[in-house]
Amino acid sequence: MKDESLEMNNLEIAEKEPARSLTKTALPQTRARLSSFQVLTIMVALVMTSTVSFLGGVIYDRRTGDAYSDEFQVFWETWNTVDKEFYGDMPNRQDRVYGAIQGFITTLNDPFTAFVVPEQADIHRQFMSGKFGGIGASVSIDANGEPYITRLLRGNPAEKAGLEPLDVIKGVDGQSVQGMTLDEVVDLIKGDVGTEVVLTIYRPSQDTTFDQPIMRAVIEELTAYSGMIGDIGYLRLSSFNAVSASQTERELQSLLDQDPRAIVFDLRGNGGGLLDEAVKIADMFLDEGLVLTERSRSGDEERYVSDSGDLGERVPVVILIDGNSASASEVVAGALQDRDRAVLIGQKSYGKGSVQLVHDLPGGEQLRVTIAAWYTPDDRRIHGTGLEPDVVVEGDQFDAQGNDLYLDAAIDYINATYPRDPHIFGG
Amino acid sequence: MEQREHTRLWWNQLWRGIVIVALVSGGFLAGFIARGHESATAQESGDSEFKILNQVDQLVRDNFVRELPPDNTLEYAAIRGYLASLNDNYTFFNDPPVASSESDALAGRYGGIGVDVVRNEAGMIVLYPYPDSPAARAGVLEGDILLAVNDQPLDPNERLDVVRQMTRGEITEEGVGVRITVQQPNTTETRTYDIPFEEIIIPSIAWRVLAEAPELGYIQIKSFTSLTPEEVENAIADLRTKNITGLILDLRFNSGGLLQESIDVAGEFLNGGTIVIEQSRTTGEMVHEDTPGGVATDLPTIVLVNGGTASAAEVVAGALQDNGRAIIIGQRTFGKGSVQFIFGLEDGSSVHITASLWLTPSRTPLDGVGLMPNIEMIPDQNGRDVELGEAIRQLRQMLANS
Repeated sequence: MKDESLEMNNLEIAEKEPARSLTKTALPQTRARLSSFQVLTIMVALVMTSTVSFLGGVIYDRRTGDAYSDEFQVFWETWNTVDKEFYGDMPNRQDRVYGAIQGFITTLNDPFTAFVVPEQADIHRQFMSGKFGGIGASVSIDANGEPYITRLLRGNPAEKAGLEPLDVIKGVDGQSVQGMTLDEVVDLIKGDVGTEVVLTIYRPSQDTTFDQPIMRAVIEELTAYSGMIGDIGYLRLSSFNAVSASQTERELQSLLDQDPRAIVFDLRGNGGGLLDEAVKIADMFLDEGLVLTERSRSGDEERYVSDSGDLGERVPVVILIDGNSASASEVVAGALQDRDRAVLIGQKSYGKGSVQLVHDLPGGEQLRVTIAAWYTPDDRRIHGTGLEPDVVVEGDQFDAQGNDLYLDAAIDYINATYPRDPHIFGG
Repeated sequence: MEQREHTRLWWNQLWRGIVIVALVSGGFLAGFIARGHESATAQESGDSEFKILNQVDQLVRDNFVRELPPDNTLEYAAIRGYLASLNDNYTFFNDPPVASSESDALAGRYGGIGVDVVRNEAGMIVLYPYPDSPAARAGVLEGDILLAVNDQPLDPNERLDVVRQMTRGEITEEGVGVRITVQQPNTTETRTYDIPFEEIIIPSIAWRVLAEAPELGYIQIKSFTSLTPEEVENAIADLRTKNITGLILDLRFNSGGLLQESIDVAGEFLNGGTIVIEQSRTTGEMVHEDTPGGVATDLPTIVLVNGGTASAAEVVAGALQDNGRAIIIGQRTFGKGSVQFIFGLEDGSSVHITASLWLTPSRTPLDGVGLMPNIEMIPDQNGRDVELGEAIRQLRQMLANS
């Protein structure tokens, strides 16, 4: 279980809206639409967050015991014999059942098909929701190893309570945070929405220490952010969770309002997430056409398409990718590349071309099953191979001075391909 | 508690009401003890934890992107995963070919054509017929490459346990057997034979009068099968005709086998006394007492052991040592003090379950500790059998003093 948990920490998942999975499950449809998602799973560090319940309370029909008698007779024979005969201490039933399921899953020899115990499943559900109970402050660790506030999200509890950037966090709920890692401190600050957390704050500007109670609220994780580099727009997306498309749209709109010459869409390190979010984001840049095709074992095909009339369809785009751009990132990058909507700059992407369906099980567990392979609009399968960039950047992403060499390459490309507007250039 | 019928001849014989100890699976480490086979009820219902397994099974079957492994692969993997959760190395599952090979080994005999099945360096499956076996008599030669079984071409990557079982089967009145197609290496001619199954005996002991000490007999027990007590009786009877005055019982590298048979063997040397004490979670403590009498109660005896002496072999060594019947010479034994029951399952697979612990008559804890020899020897670097030499010296001293 321990190893499994660690592994899960390294998975990031892209899921599909529940309703889309209707045709993908043999379970009664009304339940399936509530309980299953399709996901793209990737190998990228997962940032754990939040306690907001995303999906819950779904109960499947209990099957009668008779359902086992044919298929699992030997299993039950073994189970009952062990029950009767085993000499040593027996682990509890649940752990034994989980052991059996883990064993069962192993034979599929598929790293992306997994059984997830409730504790990890909760973390995953929360992560995918993009929302958690918190105070809306970014925290970092200073040179002395002390956590301090770096940024406050406007209109969120920390700002409303009067916290300021550079405030040092000395304690949480009366407990000293000395010696804790940043993650440990952040975990303490997060909690259920509507509950109170008391931070002990040291404010260097006034040399005072005080306790500040703050009510936790729903905080949306920031997955998209943007800024202008001269007259070039820069848009970065860190993952694809339930809030990513709306955040991307917001950031894209704010860039377009500044009339950029082109946009650099940075998907480096983005390990993926929900498939439907990926399709929505690709659609923002694409007019009518194919985004990806999914094929299941039985040969069933599902085509995901974009329509015209979205805000990003005209602005020139280049996409930055690297070896950690995976899954949903590859869906977006692959679609824009195949449809000649963007050039890819950087290094070959991760190469994850399978789709997982996530099922919530009654005990809070999740079963993640690889259900399909997906193909780019030109019917390329990128699994294990990845997307080849149109412009390859060799070597490290940053030079010794900290310059972002991929970004430089993107700007060089844009300057060569989309010259500045003459009157701006000339002025 | 109903007895389940199995098709295999020896399988049936093995499981009917026998108590077994300690065996050899995957090298010398594993010993086991099996008790009679009880069929388990097919399943329980009503427990929500059980639903989830079925649900996972169903979801995977309905959705998984690639072809699924065969049904029993999935089920066996679930069983192995389940047993792994018990954290006991001696509780494990054997699929049908392994279970059959194991039951053949424990029975000490099986129906078959009498060949060793091995994979050669080139990755081909080759046969080595036993002398005077049905295979040898039919014309199978040493090193013949096995190409086909019952006209079905053989995949050279097939598991050896599976191939072995193809060369074995129930002995019938009609002389049914197997058709094999073989070929000598570096030739093109193939030969096909129809070979009937006959009883193949796997000897578990070897014995002789010692050339270096003609007054002493030597019996090596390699494992405890259902034939071992009879083999030991016969060996002692034969050695007595050669006028031995003492005996060396070699249990080195004997990793165990059937419990009741080891108790029977110990009983041949003991004239009453406790042989072994078994402690079960369900039935409490059971003391196995020897019935006075036996074919070797009067023979001065020394037992040889080493780190590969485990399980059922430790039962014998411990019983003879604790009862003052024999001294043991060699190295500390393995220390396998748990008893496994082997249960045959519905489809011919089996499960080993650690079901009890055992203690020597003096209640010395054994598991993980082992038996301490009366005379501990360091194994000779050059491979000379110094333990045997010491045993001869000790026996001669004992005989001279008596």
